[in-house]
Amino acid sequence: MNENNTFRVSDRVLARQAGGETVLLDLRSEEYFGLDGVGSRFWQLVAEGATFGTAVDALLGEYEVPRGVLARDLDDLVRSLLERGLVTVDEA
Amino acid sequence: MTYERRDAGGTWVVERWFADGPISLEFSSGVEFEIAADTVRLCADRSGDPDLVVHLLLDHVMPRLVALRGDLMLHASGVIDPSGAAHLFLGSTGAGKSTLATALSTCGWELLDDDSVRVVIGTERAVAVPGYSGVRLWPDAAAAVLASSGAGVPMLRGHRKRRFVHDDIVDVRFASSAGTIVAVHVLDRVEDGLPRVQGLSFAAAIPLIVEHSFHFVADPMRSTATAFTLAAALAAVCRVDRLDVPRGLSRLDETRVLLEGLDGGR
Repeated sequence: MNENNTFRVSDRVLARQAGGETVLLDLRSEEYFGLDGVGSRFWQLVAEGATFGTAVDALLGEYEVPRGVLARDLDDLVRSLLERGLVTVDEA
Repeated sequence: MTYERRDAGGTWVVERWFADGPISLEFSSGVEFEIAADTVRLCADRSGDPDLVVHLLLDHVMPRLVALRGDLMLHASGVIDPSGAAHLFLGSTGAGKSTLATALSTCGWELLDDDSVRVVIGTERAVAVPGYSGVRLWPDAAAAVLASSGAGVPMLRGHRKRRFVHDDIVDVRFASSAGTIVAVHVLDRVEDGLPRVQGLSFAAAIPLIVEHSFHFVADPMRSTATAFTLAAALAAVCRVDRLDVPRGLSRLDETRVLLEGLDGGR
């Protein structure tokens, strides 16, 4: 994932957060997608407009994890979100 | 827009939305209602069974009216514990929602409703509102949990499950005011062992609450979004868990002891 990528949340997605978890609902497929811990915080950051790199930097300040491991895990997460159509890479 | 609700026996109710008009509910038993924000009208009864009409009105039409007005309406039983906190029990038909709630309400708890509970959600808490003063039980459950009861009336003609109303069940205490919800328990019948609870994540809780809610809104295209939003709001302010209840009406007191030892809150 490019460090400068930002993401656009699909307008068919509803998201709710509580207790460090985020639950996404795809209104078209009516499928749920749960994010906990780091994933939930990452969603919050990118939904607010953070770039991939900015989000990684922010999470490095909150969790004790090597940057390479964190970036790889978040890259996997983003690919999963992209595959489901829950977000798109914002080309703007 | 037309929506057919089905169960194992096929379509049992057809809901029809019309532009600028009431919503029609056509039950497969030949009973038809029209429902709007402030009215319910019985349009046709080809069943010839007054008990069936009462059952449909109380247990299927009125919950939809409440949902139509914007509150979360759960297919659940609800009770208030001796400390004043409300517990809701979700579960599929036959899971024991009515039996457990009625049993608890004969030993110091208060019954909110045995089948459908109105939930009013605020920013930091949700409250459960009492329904009508009655319970619906199978004969063996009624005999086991009610020390004294009248005969009740059949849910519908030829049905063994019976409805017991206030004068028939003097040992059941009914709640007279709403209670703050501390826990939603999803019932699961297990063959043996002790009753136990296992907390559910926010992500696991929401679909279960949605599954057991009445999806009924003025704009049917918003039904899924509304159900999700209300379920998430409830799951955010109370504990949601899976409650394993061993089969056997003699084991209900063990469940009561377990529930009285729980702490609420997510």
